Amino acid sequence: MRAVALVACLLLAAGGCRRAHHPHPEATIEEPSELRAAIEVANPADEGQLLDGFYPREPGGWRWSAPEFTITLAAPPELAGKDAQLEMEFLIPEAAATDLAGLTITAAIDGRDLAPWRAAGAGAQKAVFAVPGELLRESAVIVDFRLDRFVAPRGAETRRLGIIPSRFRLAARGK
Amino acid sequence: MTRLGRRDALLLLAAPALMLWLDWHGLRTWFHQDDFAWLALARSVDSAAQLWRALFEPAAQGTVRVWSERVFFLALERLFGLDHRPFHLAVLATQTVNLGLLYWITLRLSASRLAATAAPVFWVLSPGLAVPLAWLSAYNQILCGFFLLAAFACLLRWLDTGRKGWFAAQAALFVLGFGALEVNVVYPALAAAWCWLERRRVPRAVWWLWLPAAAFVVFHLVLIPKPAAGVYAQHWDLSILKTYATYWTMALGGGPDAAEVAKNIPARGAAVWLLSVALLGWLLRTAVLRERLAVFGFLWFTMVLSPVLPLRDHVSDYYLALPAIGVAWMLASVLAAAGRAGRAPAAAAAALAAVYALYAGSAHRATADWRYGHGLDARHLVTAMERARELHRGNLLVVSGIDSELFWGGFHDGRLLFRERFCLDPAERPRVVAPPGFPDISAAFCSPAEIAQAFRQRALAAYQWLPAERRLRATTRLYVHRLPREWRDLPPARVAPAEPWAAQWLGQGWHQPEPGGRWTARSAELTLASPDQPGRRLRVSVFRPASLLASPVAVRIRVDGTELGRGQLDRQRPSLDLVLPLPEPRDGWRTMRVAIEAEPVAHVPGDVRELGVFVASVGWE
Repeated sequence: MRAVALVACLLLAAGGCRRAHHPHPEATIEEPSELRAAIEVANPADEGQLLDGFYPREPGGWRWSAPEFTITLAAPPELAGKDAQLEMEFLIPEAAATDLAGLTITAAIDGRDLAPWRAAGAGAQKAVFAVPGELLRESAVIVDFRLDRFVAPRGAETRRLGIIPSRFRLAARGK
Repeated sequence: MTRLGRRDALLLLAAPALMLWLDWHGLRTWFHQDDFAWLALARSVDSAAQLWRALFEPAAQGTVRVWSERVFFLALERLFGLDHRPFHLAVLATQTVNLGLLYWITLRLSASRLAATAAPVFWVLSPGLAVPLAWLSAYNQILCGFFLLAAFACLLRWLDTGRKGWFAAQAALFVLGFGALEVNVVYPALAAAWCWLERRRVPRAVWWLWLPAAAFVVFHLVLIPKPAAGVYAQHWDLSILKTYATYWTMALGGGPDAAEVAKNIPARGAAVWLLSVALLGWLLRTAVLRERLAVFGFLWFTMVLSPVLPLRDHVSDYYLALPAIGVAWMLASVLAAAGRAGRAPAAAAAALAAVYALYAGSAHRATADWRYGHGLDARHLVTAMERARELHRGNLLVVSGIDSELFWGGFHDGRLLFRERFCLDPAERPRVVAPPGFPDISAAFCSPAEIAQAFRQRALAAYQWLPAERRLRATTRLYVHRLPREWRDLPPARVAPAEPWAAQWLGQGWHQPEPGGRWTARSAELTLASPDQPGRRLRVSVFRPASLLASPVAVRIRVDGTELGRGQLDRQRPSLDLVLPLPEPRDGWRTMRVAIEAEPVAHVPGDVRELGVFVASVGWE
């Protein structure tokens, strides 16, 4: 009986011998604690604000989007409750010009569609969406983008490719 | 008497050296699958009563493997936490002793150093040994091997010397072996078989060994319920022969598992046929020649395998770990006899041994490597879960992106290590396949109601598993953004009536909140979300101090007006945890009214309230 009691005490006390264990901080990728109102897709520091629908980085840092993609941006206090504009700079490569001809981009905040934007053709361009002030009451916005056309999978490329966004910005209207 | 010399010291090293090479990955495999359940059990112990339960309460399938599972995991987890290396050192040390015992026993049985060297080598190569060396939950096989071999070695010493101390040591090791694995029960049959083979009679003392075995069988059959259905159901019919043949094939490196894990080696079926014909032919010949080692090897294989043969639907490679000693003896006997017979037979026997080494060894290595990869994935996932939990203490942690393999390897039991609730997003349910006989997995998935509740309390954290990076990525913003609107206003799945947030879900009949709960009046109502899937159970935790239990109190639970169940409080049992199966979900059923009724009510002098029961929590799980 004494032996059993001794084993029990040793087992219960053994926990005290153990070194404190801390999991590796890089075991998870955390969301950025502070959001920015303007982000660059190629900037690794802004990656946490690209929430969904972005394919892996290509050599050079640029990334294809899927036909639907989502980002988050900080809504600066000075924009709170005021009409503003959402800007997206992007590229339609020549190789995708045929597939994306007449492309219309729709952005939605909080489930509400903003006025759609129609692309001019291939090349670098900037889409601007008017954002009503009532959508800017929180400190951040999540924006869902939808494309009505995309480059369908073909050959070795199995992905549905959208556009190549480079920069997003939330700013006061007209600036 | 068999004494070991310097030459033996070198020969003894052959098998452990091969094991280190063959199981180089296996012996470094991280925790996975059931390991986490044992580790969680170890973490839950913080009192002597809990320790007692943890050591002796029957676990799955009614097993109580005190040494090989309970003490093994409890002691090493307490000392080293989630460091797998001390666990594997214990496995390695035990198996090295086993190999030494097997060398000595084989030398004693065959008087051949060639056989004594070959038998442990053949055992190391066996496919059945790969899993117990890699998967810590299967340490029971290794430790049981120690008890069987050590007891058998003591028997041989007793037979040689006649000293009672050896017999007593054998009996003690045999009885202690029940704390390692149930297969230990066959030991008296093994002892009797060898005595008969060597002396054509079984000493009377050996028959006494059947007594603990019979007691264990009775205890197991009578006190521990056996599942009538599922993979652990026993089938006492002709299927036993088919199962035996399957194990025989697997022991020689064949079977579908081997073909699956070691795809690059062809003609596996032909090799198994060749080995089978050669071994069975040799067995028939040895029966005439009275070559005892081969016959005993066959009997060992059959007897040690026999307890698992009725498990027709649960054929597992690691069940072969101990029977494989018998195959090793048969092969070693071929080698030793051929060595004595001349060059041509020796060459043929060496070729046979090479075929076995190639096919069994390749299946063994591939299984060990697969386990290693499996453990690596589990390690990354559980480490990421530890980190997530560190950053979001007290939150509900919803995970997505887990496939079936990682679910069973790391998530299902790995989440038990944490006080925080980790669960999979309900949309992930189709991704996870639960093979027949596997446990119910509904608890591993969050219900929309608990997600909604965590969202309202700002206690929700969402993560996505990234398989390529083997990391969890926080996705709470996106997850909340995409939370279905119809979920957001769902009532909770569980209410703790004392919590301020719970007040909005409480109906009539509740008194003011107090630390730990609220008193009901004669009847009290609350609203919960209706169950999201079949099999959910309502748990109601109620209490009334013994001083207010002059007479028994009937507690009745109704759901939407229909009685779901009842219980009774009395002085002997002043608290009650009622667990009641809920009706299956039906279309349009989103919320349910739960009523708690207590009769008779109590009154306290100076307090005008009618006191029903004190409720700590109500909710489904």
